[in-house]
Amino acid sequence: MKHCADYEERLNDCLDGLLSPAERAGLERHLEGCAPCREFLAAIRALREQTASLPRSLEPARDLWPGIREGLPGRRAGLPKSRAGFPAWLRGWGGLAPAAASVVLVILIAAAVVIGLRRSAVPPGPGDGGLPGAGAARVVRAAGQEPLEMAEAEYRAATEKLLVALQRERGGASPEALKVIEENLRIVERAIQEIHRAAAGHPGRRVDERMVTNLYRTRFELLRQAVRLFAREGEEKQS
Amino acid sequence: MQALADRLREMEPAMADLLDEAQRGDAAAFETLYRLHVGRVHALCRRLARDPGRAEELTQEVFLRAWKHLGSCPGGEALAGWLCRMAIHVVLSDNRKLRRRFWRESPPADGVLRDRADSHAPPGLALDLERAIAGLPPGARQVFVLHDVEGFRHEEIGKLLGLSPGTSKAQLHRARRLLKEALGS
Repeated sequence: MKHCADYEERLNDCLDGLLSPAERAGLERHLEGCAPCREFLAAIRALREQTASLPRSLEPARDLWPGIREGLPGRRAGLPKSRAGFPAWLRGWGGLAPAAASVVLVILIAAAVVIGLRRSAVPPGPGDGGLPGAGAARVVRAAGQEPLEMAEAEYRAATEKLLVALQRERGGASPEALKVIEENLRIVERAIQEIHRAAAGHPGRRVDERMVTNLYRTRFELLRQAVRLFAREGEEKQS
Repeated sequence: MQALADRLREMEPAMADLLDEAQRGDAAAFETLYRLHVGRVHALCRRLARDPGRAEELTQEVFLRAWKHLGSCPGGEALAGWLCRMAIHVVLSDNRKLRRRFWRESPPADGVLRDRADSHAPPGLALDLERAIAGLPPGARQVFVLHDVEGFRHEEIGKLLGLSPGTSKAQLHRARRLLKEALGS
């Protein structure tokens, strides 16, 4: 049976928390005796929750940067090619610049993830928890959790191997380089843990799976670069 | 949460430095900003423009405009919002051009939602909803995306789309009703 057309606006306003207490009380009275309207409210509430779980970030199917770069007028030129990819305050780090830049990217991605986490907060139905039908059609938010957990497991397994390699090559690294890498790995690990802690502490919030995966991917890349850098330094020491 | 707040404070200088570099014309710094935000901007273009190929072109257009107007860009967290607003303006402006050219966007009739084959749509349970959103009539789709996906208020949507808040609300309710029917819920 169809819901009452006269009540559709009020049901939506109820969902959006736009009703006054008196209007809300009137709607509650109506809902007590109207099953189709209760079902409609539950359905649009479920739709809102499902919408809230949509990814806020969708990567394009191809890398759009080359086309954008071609179209940039007046971009600054003249930096040495090998170092042009790093901010000025990193360019003095010499051989550590690639690793350091990765850390900056990780930190920025972590910031974006945390900011995204804060912005993607799904407020509990504003004041509608006591209405008939409230919570009747809650969408289980764990829909995207399993792939994320699998991706995390894969990255953790891959980085474990790199950590073993890092231990092997650490003899080739200068104490300064080793200190920078280890400190930055700790920063990355703490950022990952804090994101998960923040999400766990707020069941109504979600983490953008793609961004978390990017965080792991960048951590992996940082480790890979560190291993390569230390191996090269070791070879230079021996020669 | 204190640790989280501290972490955010630690991150702000890095983000500000990056923006500062880009504002001074460093394309590499701008590339990093692009890589951080392209997903958000593309998602918005994709849902508002509907066509995947056009969404990619519009995403490029957003970043080209962003580069041009980077001097007026606020820093920190506001950067993402600034880019999203720019994306909305770029897509809506393009929609108007298309409408002028073809008179109108040939929306499907109410309740008849087109199943647009799209190999790049996000997988899983969200796919049906994404398709259903893509099949909404343009006005209802834009308001739904801005309100329920992006979290804008009706007053803001009204200003962005040139509608009254009441019309924005009516379009939102229509979109929800159509989506409910399309999803069979």
